[in-house]
Amino acid sequence: MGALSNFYQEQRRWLNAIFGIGVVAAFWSFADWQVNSELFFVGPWRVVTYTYGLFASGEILDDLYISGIEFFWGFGVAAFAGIAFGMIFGISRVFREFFDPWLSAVYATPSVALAPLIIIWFGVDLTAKIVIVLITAVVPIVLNTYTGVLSVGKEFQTLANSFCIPQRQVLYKILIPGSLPYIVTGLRLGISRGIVGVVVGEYFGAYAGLGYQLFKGLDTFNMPLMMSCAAMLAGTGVVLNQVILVIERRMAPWRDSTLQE
Amino acid sequence: MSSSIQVEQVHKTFMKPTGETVHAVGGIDMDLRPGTFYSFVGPSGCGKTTMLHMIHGLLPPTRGRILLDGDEVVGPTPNKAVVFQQALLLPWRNVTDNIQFGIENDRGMSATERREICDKYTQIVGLRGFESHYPHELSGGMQQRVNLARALAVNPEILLMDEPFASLDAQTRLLMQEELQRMVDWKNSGKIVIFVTHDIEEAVFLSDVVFCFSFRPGTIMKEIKVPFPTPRTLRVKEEPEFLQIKHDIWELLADEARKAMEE
Amino acid sequence: MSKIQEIPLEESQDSSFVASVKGVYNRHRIGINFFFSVILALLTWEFIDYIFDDPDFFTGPVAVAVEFTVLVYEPRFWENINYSGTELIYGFGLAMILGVVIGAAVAFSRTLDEMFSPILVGLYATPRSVAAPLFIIWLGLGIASKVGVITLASVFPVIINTQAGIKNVQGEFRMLGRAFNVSFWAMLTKIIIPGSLPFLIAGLRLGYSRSVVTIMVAELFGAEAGIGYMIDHATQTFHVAEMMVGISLLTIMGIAGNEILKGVERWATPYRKTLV
Repeated sequence: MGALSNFYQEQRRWLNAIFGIGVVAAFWSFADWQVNSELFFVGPWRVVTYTYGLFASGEILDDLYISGIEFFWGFGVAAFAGIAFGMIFGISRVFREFFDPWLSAVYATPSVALAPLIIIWFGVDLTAKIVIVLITAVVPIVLNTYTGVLSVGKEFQTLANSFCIPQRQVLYKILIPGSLPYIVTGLRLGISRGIVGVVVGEYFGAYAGLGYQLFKGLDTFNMPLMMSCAAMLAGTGVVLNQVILVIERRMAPWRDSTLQE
Repeated sequence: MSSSIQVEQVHKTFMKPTGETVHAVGGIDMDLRPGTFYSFVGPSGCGKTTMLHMIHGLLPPTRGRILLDGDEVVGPTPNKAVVFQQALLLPWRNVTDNIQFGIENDRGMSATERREICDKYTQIVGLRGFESHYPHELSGGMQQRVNLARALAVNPEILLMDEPFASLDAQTRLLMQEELQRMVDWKNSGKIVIFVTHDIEEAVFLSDVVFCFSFRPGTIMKEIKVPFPTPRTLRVKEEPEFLQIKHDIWELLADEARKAMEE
Repeated sequence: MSKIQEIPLEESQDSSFVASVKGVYNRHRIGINFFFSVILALLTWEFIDYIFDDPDFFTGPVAVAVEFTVLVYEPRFWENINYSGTELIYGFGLAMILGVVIGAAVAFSRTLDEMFSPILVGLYATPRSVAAPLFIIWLGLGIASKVGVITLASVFPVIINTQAGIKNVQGEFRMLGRAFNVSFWAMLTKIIIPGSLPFLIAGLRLGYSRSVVTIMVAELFGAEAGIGYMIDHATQTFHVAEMMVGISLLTIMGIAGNEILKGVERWATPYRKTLV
């Protein structure tokens, strides 16, 4: 008995996490058993097997590819542009004070609401979808980079001045590494927004993509397909987040923990 | 290598965002000679740090001028280095890379030379074995050693120290005072060292010359020469003459400190 | 920026016209910059409209304002606003209650924390509004499905921030409470609640902005009315001015809510500086 409770005390973090997932899965399965209709609800195991079936038959691969392309370009450009603009906002006081109201307005505007306008301007092809992902993902990246630059204390600027470090080196020696944790948070928030952007973009005249399949599932009352797509989209969010965290830990060994949001 | 500094009738006035002006430094003259350790001592808000920044070139004087070897100081130059009150180490750099911060732009220096300089000062400040540690893994005293090594690595003629021991615990502080003399070695290298502190005992213990600052607008009330030979050991602090000097300075500063407290 | 701004003595004593203009600018620079910034934004917007000169493609602020004055006479317009507003109030309200309860539970119980925090953190990183179609099947096309999605999308920042706030205060002040022999109730009302309030309000602001975004997403997947529905409908008929009115309405909802929460923050925590 003592050994068992020791084992629990030592490993409680893992055991409880697994137990927690078990509890959720049990409730989910119980609900499925109660509802007992695939039109309304699907259990966790059915989601797994259905998703496996989609991959095995290969019918989802095109959709993954299309959504992947949209996300890759949209998020990629958002990351570069977001970090660049955030840096400029953080560095230039005039720029910051002048464009702050624009930034507040952009922050307050639900960027997915701009999706229909983008469709009108860019048509229904791939470019429009990429732009939609871009505008939904870019806002948190800009804002967090900007906050990050401001969080690097003025005293570090004084330090650089007093050691005669040229201004352009201050950018990559101090401002970028100093704001890295904030940039990472921005990218993580941008990921989940970008995925919403993919789905919203595919609402308008798409012929393939995970979001398109989601809508198809809704139209055809195909609950397993919908839950499978939702799970894949959510799973992508989790996986990409972990990837970014791992990269951050590699690039920033000086930090103790980075799990804070 | 031996520079001298003349400070001539320097004033400094700031403006608060409220529009109120603050007369921080009110007419200071100084003549600083190479191979000498100077302290600025006075109550908080007496303009001693401002004076240090002006000598460094981070702030221009409102009136008067500061000459370094006859040329007016207009900005920071590589022959001056500062040791900050907060260590201000870059958290993403290990000890070696932090020490290297000030010399990595010196094109006349090869990578091996840089390495050697870093090794030398890592040795001098007693951090051998900690080269690849990051700042968050170091104690406060060790961080201040890196801070000092970073300044010494540029081999400055003028070393400016802005209350570098203020955030250390009392014992570490005593040990650092004793070691500082060996680490900086201003007598042999002909450096000018300027040390800002509000600890009178620390100022007297370390300095050849102590400048006593009045409360705002900061002026020099007295310039006191400390006769003990250097390097000194902590035992000096118990000698009657040392205690007498310390007492005299406190007599001089007590009223000023009271003004600062009531501000 | 250092608190004391450096101005040379000579210049500040200068009484010439230029100096006084400079002084006025320096004292009110944030306000002045704000004013010109907004003016420039509106002019740029109108200018782009002038360049395109195609109301099916782009409309300027004037056309949007005109469209607005037309729409206010249509009962359907007010119905849409009412519909989305109701979604927002119920959805965000529910997220607020659930978020604080769940956040407090995982903050106070170590076992619950270890069991569910990994799941909560995982879900925090996911695009939750993609569950909107599922809610439509479960709860129908009406308002209930939107409330469900909005709650799901905005509850997580509230949970995470409530938890972080309580843990933060507990970590800092537990010893203080012990030292003064404070009862649990007093600890809760005097230390934990006021101490975690800034975190909680930050969470509410994050959650609120997600709520507004989710109105749009939720209504796209099928709705009977609402601002998102109105925008979608206007898109199908290429009615750009009406779309922009809809977008502006959502933006106003976003700004208004954020300002209200900022006001609450200033009122509840006057000892802190309120951020953007």
